[in-house]
Amino acid sequence: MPTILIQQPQCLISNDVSSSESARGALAPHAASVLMTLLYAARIARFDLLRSINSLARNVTKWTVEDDAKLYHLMYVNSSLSKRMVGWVGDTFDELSLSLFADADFAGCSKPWSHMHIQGGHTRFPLSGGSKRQGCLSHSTPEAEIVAADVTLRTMGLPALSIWETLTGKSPKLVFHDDNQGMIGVVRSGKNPTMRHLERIHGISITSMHEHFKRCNYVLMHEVTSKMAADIHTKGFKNPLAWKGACMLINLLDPGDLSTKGLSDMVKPTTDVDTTVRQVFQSRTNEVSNFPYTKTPILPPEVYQKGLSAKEQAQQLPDMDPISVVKTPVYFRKRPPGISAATDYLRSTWVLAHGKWEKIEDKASTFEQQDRFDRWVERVCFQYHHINHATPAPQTKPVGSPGGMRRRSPASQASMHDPAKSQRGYPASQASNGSEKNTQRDKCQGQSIQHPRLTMSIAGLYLRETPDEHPITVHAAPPCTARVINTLLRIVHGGSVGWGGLPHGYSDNLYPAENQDPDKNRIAIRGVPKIFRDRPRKPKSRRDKKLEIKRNSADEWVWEDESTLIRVHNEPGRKLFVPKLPCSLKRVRDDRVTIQKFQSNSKPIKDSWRMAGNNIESSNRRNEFWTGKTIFNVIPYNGEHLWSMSQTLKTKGHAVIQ
Amino acid sequence: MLVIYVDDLKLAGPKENLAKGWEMLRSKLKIEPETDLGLYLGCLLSKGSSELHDGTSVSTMTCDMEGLLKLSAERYLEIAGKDTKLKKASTPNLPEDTKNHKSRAPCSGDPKKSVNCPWCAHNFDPAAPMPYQQ
Repeated sequence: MPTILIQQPQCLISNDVSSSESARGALAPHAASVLMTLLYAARIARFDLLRSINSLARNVTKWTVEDDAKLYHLMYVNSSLSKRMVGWVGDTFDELSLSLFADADFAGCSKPWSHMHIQGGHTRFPLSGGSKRQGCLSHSTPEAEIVAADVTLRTMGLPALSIWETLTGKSPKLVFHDDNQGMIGVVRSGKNPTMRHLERIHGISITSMHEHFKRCNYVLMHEVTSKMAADIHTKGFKNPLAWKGACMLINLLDPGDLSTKGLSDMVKPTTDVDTTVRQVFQSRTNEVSNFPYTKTPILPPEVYQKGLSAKEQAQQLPDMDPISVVKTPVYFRKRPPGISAATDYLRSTWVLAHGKWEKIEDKASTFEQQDRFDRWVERVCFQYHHINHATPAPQTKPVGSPGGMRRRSPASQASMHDPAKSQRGYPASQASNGSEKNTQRDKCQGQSIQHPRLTMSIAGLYLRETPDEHPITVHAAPPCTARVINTLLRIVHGGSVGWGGLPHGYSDNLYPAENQDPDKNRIAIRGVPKIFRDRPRKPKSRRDKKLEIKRNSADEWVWEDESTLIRVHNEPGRKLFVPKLPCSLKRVRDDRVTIQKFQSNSKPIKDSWRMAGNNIESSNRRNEFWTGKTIFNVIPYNGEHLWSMSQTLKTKGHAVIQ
Repeated sequence: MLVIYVDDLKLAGPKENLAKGWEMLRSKLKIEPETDLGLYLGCLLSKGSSELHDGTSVSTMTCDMEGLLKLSAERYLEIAGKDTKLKKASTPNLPEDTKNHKSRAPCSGDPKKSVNCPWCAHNFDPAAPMPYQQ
């Protein structure tokens, strides 16, 4: 029988015995005595040290140089001697409840951590904190969380309730906080088909937990991660501001902290305890989705557009300025590399702290932009505005709204540029003569000012007199005016060669820099001017033609009257149509009439579009393509709403009620 | 409520009943005279009152373990050597470097000599030192 010899590759060899012995730490024989003294202090009144001490105490028998370094760092205690555990009570007995927090660190060997305190409107009194190591590992985070919840409830919550009842004769409300949606879902439903092994492996009964939380004085609520008191036991913090917040949550305060606003904001419960029974998983604030179980919008409502997500990343949609979301930052972020915006940009910043978005920077120029946060924030949303269109010129202001200006070509953007504003954008270029940094910036700014700019107002070129009558964009101006403006702009800034330089839809290069490279038939001004003659437009490519046909044959909405909305299907399809736009779906009645036109005949189908399953399958037996129309009945609004609706349609290029 | 930890006792309850409680205990046990709230099991307990940010006056209970923590810091200095200087740290955790950890670094070495790992389909040069060994 052939023997296959496989040599273990180096990437899998972690460390052999000899190397581990040589890496034995210098403090190995004595580490235990320091750690155990610390552990005693931590158990009584310094819960913040528990995690670090425990992770080191596990290594006492296999102490390495790395542990030496960790123990040295743990001497953080020496610089935090002033921290005290302070419990405060400002409510009567009836207003108090027991708060339990459970969390699990899955990667850290599934160790359930728990924290318990007495909670009231003006009360927070720590009772207990700690962990109990489980005998076996969990397979997933929700599983570890369920184990943590069970341990916490069994070993802390229920005994505490008994003592409370003995002392006061009343049963308090027990509020259980957890940050795992999976665990909450399982306990609320009492069913967990994917983890049927829990009972055998961990000795946990989901049904018993479900029954506990069915009682009226047991409340299970979702807690946002930032207010999770047990987080300090499961996570390592390196951000000092976040660490301070986490310490506040377990009542570890520096002297003078008690009367600060930061503390009262931090310990304020996210959800009112009485309403937690009806905690809704997915809700919306002003059309913006909220974080699960909270009333906090995922993005600032001013910024939010359909298609944006709360993920920690840079995002950009065609109609808006790019945004970037960062969790618990210490520094303000400059424009990330993935975002296409000009080198000069203005920045707006919103911070999310304690469930509210707050705008702290409004189109701040480079010199007004801040560098470092002075407080702990949960999440930050930065928006980067193009400098030319983000500062509308006073004279041209009536010409268009900022929203209207966002879609301009670079040429027409420049037309909105105003000399007064441009100087306001670079205040330091004239004013500063201070630090080296500023002079460097001045140089950069100076360069950008050297570029030729068209700094005239276009208001005078319009034929209409009052500013209100001016068209929204240059392109809506009379053709002769637009042509003059665009020719001027082309000379100054460079632009597409040929006719007026109107934008054809969107391109990948949303915010192209000024003076594009001459290879792309742009006019370069720097150095020797190189101006191409106007050339007739190139014949359309095959792809353009295809796109145009597609555009003309796209489906469209038509309002027949106030209560009838028709979707005209020009593009052949097989499935029935489910509406998404253009009015609130609540107003659309269930019934739908689909008139299908086949090659030979046509047939109407009457059914309900809200019935799932009606829409997915092909709508006819032979799986034939059809065109035609789908008619929906809509509950009419009053005139005002209808008007705003038609406006929305106008901007979207759909049909409008006459 | 009575807490007994070996030979340390702590009694809590309505003020007028406390004296009676101690008397009952003394009828069976020999105990030192009781003191006010203070050092108990190495923790300095103190009651006080304060005002929150919104103006509500609250009564507070402070647990202070400063003495023991100082002691452990001194013990650390003893075993680590008196010359050791303790740095100021803002958190007890060393930065957990996962994103920039050296074991995630791309393998150095000659890409032409690289072979495919039979387990994890990772390409590496067997002759080159691994990042964590550097």
